Amino acid sequence: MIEIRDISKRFGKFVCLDHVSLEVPDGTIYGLVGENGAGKSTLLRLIAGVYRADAGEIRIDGKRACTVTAKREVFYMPDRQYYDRNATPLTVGNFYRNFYEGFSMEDYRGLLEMFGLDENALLDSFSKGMRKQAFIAAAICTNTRYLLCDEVFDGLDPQIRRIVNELLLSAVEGRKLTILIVSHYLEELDRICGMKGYLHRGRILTQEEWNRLL
Amino acid sequence: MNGLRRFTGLLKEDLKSKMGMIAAVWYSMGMFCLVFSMKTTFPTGEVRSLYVGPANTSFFAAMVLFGILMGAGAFRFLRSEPATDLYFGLPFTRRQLFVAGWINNLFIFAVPLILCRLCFFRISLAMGYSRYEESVFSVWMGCLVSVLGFLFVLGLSMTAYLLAQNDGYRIGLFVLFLAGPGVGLRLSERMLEEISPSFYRSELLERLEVYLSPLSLLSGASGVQDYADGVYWLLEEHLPYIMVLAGAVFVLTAINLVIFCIRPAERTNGMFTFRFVEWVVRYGCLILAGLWLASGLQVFAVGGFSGALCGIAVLFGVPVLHGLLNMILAFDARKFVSAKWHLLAEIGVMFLVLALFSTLGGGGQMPDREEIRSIAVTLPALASGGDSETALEQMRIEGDALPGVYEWIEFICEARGREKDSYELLVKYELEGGQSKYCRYWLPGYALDTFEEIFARKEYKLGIYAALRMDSAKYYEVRWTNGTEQYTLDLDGQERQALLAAYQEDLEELSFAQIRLRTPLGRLDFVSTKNQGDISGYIYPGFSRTLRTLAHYDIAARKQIEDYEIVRIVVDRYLMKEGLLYHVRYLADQQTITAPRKIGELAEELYAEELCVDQQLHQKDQNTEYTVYYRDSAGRTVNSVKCLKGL
Repeated sequence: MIEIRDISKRFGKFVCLDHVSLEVPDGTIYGLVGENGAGKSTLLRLIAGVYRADAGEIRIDGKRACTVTAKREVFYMPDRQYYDRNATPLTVGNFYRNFYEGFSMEDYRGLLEMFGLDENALLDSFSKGMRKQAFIAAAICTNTRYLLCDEVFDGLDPQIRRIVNELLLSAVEGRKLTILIVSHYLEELDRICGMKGYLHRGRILTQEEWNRLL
Repeated sequence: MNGLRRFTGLLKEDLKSKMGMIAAVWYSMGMFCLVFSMKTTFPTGEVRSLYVGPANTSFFAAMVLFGILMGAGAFRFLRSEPATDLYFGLPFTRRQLFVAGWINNLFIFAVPLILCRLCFFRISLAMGYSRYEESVFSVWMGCLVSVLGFLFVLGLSMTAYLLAQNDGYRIGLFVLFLAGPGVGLRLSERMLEEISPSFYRSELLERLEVYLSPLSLLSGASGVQDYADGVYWLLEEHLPYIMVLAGAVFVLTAINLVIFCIRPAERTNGMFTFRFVEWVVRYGCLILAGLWLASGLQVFAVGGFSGALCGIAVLFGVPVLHGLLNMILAFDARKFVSAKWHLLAEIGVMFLVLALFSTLGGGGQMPDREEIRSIAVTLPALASGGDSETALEQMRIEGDALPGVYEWIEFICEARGREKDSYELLVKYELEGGQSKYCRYWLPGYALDTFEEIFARKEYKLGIYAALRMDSAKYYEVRWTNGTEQYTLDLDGQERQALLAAYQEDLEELSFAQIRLRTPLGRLDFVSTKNQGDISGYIYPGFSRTLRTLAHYDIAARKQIEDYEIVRIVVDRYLMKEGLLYHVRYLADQQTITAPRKIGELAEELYAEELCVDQQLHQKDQNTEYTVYYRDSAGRTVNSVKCLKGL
């Protein structure tokens, strides 16, 4: 379970997250919605241990989020992926294999084939959506217990979005994967998320508050 | 998958991202070896075993250059947000990420360096430049010093990289680390010199400068500043520097680790990662610039240090500096007038710093008599006595002689300040606690005769005349010159020793009055044949024993300008134009004298320029230069010598 308690984060004078508390139970897909600048990506970075919170605490399975034992169980997929200029889907797979013990190269190759991606082609030669597919494949194949996805549907066509949805749902059902998704695609989130949260100006809103805001 | 395997994977991935640097280091080291193996000619006097020791300048340059580059490239992923997301999101702590980068940098530089140094040694042995037993220690010390030096520069470069958020500021911060301490300490010395008329030098400040200035520390550890020979590289001479260097590497690495762990991954406001860095830079630069301004303005002071000029420097200079710093730190010209509270604080800090300097420099002119163990005195105007620094180190006036000298200095101090017709006097007090205090006084012209009292002392002469400290002339070749001709004397060991003894006796009887009234007739140079350093001494007209001994060896030691067959004298008259901050000397008139009678009259008053060494004490006409052309023994040929005329 991911437990977020009273997390605050500010960038200079801008309060990005203001005493946010949240719980993501195991084996669920949690969708986090909010307008631009609401703090969604920041919250994911805090869970992934990229950012340090100004106040509050994040625990993953009871362990502090910035510890190696907690991070070993989490895969963070940011909105913009970083890769070496000469990277191919294969080198990306080899890169993650070094760090995640559960990474399955066989499954990864299978997913690449399913997406129709050449494992030896340069990532630079791919479209935005194709690159995203390669990283989604890698994320699923790391076999971590938690997956943090920032704008995972961005740049994907409807057909691929459907495939990705199915993949994520099957991972949740099959191996009790817990997924926290940040996205603007409300319909996609409605389709796959068991739970949803609404971030607005650094605070989590109730469903009623969110409806009123809409 | 255990942690070690994951960490090895991290090392591997990090190495992959540094392939360019790996290639650059191997290429440089390979080229060093190649060039050295093909080096068949060496400049005259070059010590060949120098190449294998820690003082090799090529390795020194490589150590500094790669330290800077690899420090700046160690954590390149911090430059872009996606890369930061990737690396900080991996299952590693920040400490592990730092250690992986540090270890890789160490190995990328150290492995090729050690191999290259060993290769140099092998080539050096094969070519016969050095012998195994003599040089093997310095080869390994060279490896150690280069690796430590590299880690030190790497650390400084990393600190600058981690603390600043853009490349321009990173470079600025690194330059500040590199030059700031040295500049600060030199400015402090200058300020103390301005405030305290008797301040000459401070051993503490000099030591701090050597250890705190990164390049001085690296030079001291490697011996590169004095081209320390590979064979004669002595650990005890460099050990303090190496220890400080090792300590600095440890401290810097720990600091960088802490910064890396607490540094925000996101870009923060301002040019630096932490707010306090901006303050440190702001106040550091302000103090340096403020001290420079306050000491620089003293050029307009009349009659010693002016507190009013310091006040002007603070009240008018600090606001300008404040504005400039605002612009630089924010990289925005519109910020010139901002941060008003900082301005007030800066003015306050500058006044405090100046008050601190005036307290430090405002002490008594000389220490209490009871505190002093020995005194050394030199008069730099007495140039024939050689280097003042060496004399101060060699001289020890103590015991019964001490009170007299102390009282004489007290008498000088009463004269106070620098007058137009005064002579610089340097004094080193060795205090009971073991520390030394260096002072500068001004000996008034009217009291110059009183210096005879000091000059007549055996300890003084032992301190200033190196020839008096010579035990034997066994490993020296003796050369003689009268400023016109120069010869190497064909003497055996006993004859050289006899000449040295005669010269030493004459030197002991030399008086200060003689120096002030007479120009030397010649000079003896004892040139070492065993690399011990050369020693020179002037022959004054009253040196009867020396002149007699030289005459005994058929040397015309009394021969002066008028004794040559002069064919013409060219007289160049110069004029001087002086302003507050400049002086220009230009040729006003040239005349050639060929009339024998005129030549004869003039030649009696001329002295070879080379022998007019104590010109401040025994003045010559500086504005007229005489070039004397005389016939030599080779046939219809002439030689020339530059001369000066007595006043």
